[in-house]
Amino acid sequence: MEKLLIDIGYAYRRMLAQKWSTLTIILTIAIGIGSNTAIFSIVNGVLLKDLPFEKGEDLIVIKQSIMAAPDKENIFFSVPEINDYRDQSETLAQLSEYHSMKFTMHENGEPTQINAGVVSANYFNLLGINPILGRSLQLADDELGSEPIIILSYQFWQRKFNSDINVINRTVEMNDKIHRIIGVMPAFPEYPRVNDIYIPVSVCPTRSSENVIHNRNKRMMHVFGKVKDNVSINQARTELKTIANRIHKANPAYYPENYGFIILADKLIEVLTKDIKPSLYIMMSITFLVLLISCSNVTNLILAQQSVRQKELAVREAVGATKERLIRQLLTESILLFLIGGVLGLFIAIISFDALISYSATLTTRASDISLDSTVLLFTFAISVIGGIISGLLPALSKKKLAIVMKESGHHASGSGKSNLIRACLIVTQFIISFILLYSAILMLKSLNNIKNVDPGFNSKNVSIMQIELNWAKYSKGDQINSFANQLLINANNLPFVSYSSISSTYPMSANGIKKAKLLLNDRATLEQDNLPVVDYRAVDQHYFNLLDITLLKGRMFSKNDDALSSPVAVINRSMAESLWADSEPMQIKLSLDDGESWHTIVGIVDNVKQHGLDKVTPHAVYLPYAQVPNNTIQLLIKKQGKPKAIAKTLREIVYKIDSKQPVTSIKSMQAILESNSASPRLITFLLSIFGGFAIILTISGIAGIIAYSAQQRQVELGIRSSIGAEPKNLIWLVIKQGLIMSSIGIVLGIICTIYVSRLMEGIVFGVDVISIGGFVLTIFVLFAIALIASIVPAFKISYLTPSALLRK
Amino acid sequence: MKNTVLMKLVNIDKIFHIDRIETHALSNINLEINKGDYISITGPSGCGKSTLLSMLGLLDTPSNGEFWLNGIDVSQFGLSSLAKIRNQEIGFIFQDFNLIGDLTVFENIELPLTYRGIKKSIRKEMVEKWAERVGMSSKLQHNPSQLSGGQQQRAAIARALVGEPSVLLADEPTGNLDSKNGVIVMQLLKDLNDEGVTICMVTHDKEHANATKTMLTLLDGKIVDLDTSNLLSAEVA
Repeated sequence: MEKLLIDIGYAYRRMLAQKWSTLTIILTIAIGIGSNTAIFSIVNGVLLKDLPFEKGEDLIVIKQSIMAAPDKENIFFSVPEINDYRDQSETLAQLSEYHSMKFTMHENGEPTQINAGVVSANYFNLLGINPILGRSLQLADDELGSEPIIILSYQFWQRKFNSDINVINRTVEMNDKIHRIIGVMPAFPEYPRVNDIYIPVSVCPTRSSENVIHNRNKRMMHVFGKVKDNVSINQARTELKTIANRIHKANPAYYPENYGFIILADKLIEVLTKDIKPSLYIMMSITFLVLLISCSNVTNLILAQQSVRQKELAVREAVGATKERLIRQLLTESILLFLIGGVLGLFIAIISFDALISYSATLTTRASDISLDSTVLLFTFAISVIGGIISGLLPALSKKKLAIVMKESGHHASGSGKSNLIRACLIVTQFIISFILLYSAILMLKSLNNIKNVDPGFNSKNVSIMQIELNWAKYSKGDQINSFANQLLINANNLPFVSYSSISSTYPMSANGIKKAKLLLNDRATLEQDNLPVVDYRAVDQHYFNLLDITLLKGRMFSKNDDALSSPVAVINRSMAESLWADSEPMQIKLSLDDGESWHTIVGIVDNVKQHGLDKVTPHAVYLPYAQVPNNTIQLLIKKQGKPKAIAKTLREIVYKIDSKQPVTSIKSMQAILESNSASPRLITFLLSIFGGFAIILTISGIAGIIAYSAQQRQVELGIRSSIGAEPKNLIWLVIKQGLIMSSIGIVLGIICTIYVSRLMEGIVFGVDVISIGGFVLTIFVLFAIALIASIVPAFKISYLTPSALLRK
Repeated sequence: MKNTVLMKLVNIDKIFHIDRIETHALSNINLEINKGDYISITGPSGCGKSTLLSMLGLLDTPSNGEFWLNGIDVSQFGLSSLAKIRNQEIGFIFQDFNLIGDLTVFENIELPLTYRGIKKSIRKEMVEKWAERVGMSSKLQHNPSQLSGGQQQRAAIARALVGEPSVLLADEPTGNLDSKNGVIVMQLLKDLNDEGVTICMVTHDKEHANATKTMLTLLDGKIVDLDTSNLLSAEVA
């Protein structure tokens, strides 16, 4: 211990003696460790931590899909199906259902749109969560006609009820009905979305309707399961498939063979983190590379420092210090540097924490589990110590032998061949990493640019969207919804800043208000119908296409005559027309989206619109007249004129004018929606650019340092050359050549590594070939330029010295 | 025989500034060196011997004064021009040989010719000629570290002379050699001078100094004695 304290004392004195060099080293370490700590805190919270549920690893999400659905999307479960699986499963300890609804809550006078999770009574029991206030749901709560009760989510309780501990048994009005609050749940990662409240199935009018309870085709529920102890998920999957086959055989009318109904089961933890994983892996790779480059640079700096300390170390050895003792002293110094850098890095992580949590929250509900806990602190400590050992060990092991040092004159201190080789290898490594980061940043920039330049198929300029989820208790019939929608349009068109407006169930770049259905066409034979795809459909009014400048390619758009009483019509997109009628004419063909209950005549073809994201393929799309398929989700699209102020307030007022108890869900500009669509690639691009830039700065400083140091080492040689006639340009070339050789090796190896690494980016970049010749050329150019700039300064510095000055070293 | 002036130093001063302290290494040096001269520069440590040799070899620039080489004032020349002159007109021998460790003896000797841009075949011929002249023909592919001190100094002499310069400057050429090798090197220098090579040598060794034609003594950066008695006897002889 005493020896350790002595070593720490030496290390402290050395830091003070070389404060600028020490500061550079600490800052370099801080950025490397800080970025890794920040990203690790997300990895820890989202991927490594156990779910805050009892036996969270046993929780599964069960999905039902049909082979024709793109990406095997979940088509959900009906109540009879859930009952079947619940009754027949022997591998699942519990099975619970969930679906979400929007309610209008009237609390403190103002209507608020809230998200409600409608769950079976065993839902919280399945998750193993107990309320922090009041009680959980009980089996009796599921019985039809039971008391309307609600459970508050932790965040909603904090936000809406100011964490009032006396909230239990208070009543609130929701959709014209009084509900009693029976409990408050702790914060937990919710799936598939974050809810404000939870209600039992008996409270949901849709779920408790006869039509839903007994209709096997009314599939609207998510299903969660918990596998029994000692049962693997694969066993559960096998059993679920067996049950599914049994159900299909027993009810063939509901499961046409050609639809290919399938059952899928995934661990809840996997489902919760599916969206964030690719980004996290990229960010982890980036920050790890930055840490590598930081360590490499620090090792180089320590090596350079140490080469001028050879004499000091030799003296220590000469007066009795053992080799182990000297190595321990050098390690103490480097570990101390890394620990200080680690503490500073922790502050960097804390500063970036809120931004990273906000970003994570857009991709997973597990963001609430992210914290700077003991695991993160341990990680920071571990990488600090490991970094310190690695960066200290290489210089310690490359220490010259005593006899060699003592033989050299004091002012001729120079690094050993071994330490020179290590330094060169470290610089080459930095070039490799810089190449990967810079190339990746270039790819992402190109990708982001491509996303920005994608023609979305509509004009977002001056378009704002107000979303309203109509109170289904009040607006349950088509004519009620149409009446509200028509009045809303009139009110909107009367506003001075509105040039014209439109009503629809959705808008571009939104999944909200879009439904999926198996397509049927009257021009296909029965057998052919089975091969038709599942298509998106949405409801739009006659102004929708004009307002968004969506091009009409053939036929007509909707008109005001396409109302609830007129013959059903449809407009399809180009993608669908080209795919299904490559050699024929789709106009006047009839399509059905409800298994043949109603048929819509195709009256027009419009150009493709990017519906699910700028980087996503345009799906087959069907547009139906809003008046013919009214929807409780109303999107009011307005085209603004002039420079209006307080649009949101004015728009809300036109809603309240119609119904003072009807809340507005959101008001957004189409431009903001477009921008948020590229938020994730933007963040990755931003991080890559920042870390790529940082890597380049480190590489520049590294190569400049090593070239300067090497030039200093070679000063006598350069003096000799100069004395026998080498001109300054010869000396400059000699110095620069060294930098160029190292950078050339680094660049060649960087190209090879990047070719492998770039494959990982295939799913992330858009419209860019991951092997981009242009990207390689630009990266090579930039890195050569950097090598040149970094070498040229020390080279010129040397060239201005007279031979006499060079030889005087 | 008419003396041809090779180098002429007029009122040369050299002042060093180290940590704001001004040190006059050379003061008011006036000196002429003729072609064929063999001059020794002696004096106590720190008297400015090596600085004077650096001035003569254009390794450093004077703070004041003029330096004429072959009738041209080179004291205001830039680094590139001086390098060219050094390459063509001046050969150097250092106390610690200053061979470049990464290069073979051949490459070391060849180096001045490489900088001069001479063709490879001619370079080879000249290197071999001078290696033979100093008795290093068998060691051309050796690295300096594989040679004895005497061999290294002979290789350094070959490198200094391979470009056939006007003057050979030697800074304590026997300082790091044992007496046997010292004698060999001094004999070599004498022979070279006899063949017409102008030599200017810094030395501590009185005996070696006595072997030169002109003995210049420095003290505190000034020439305090210029003994040309040997020169006269040499001319008489």
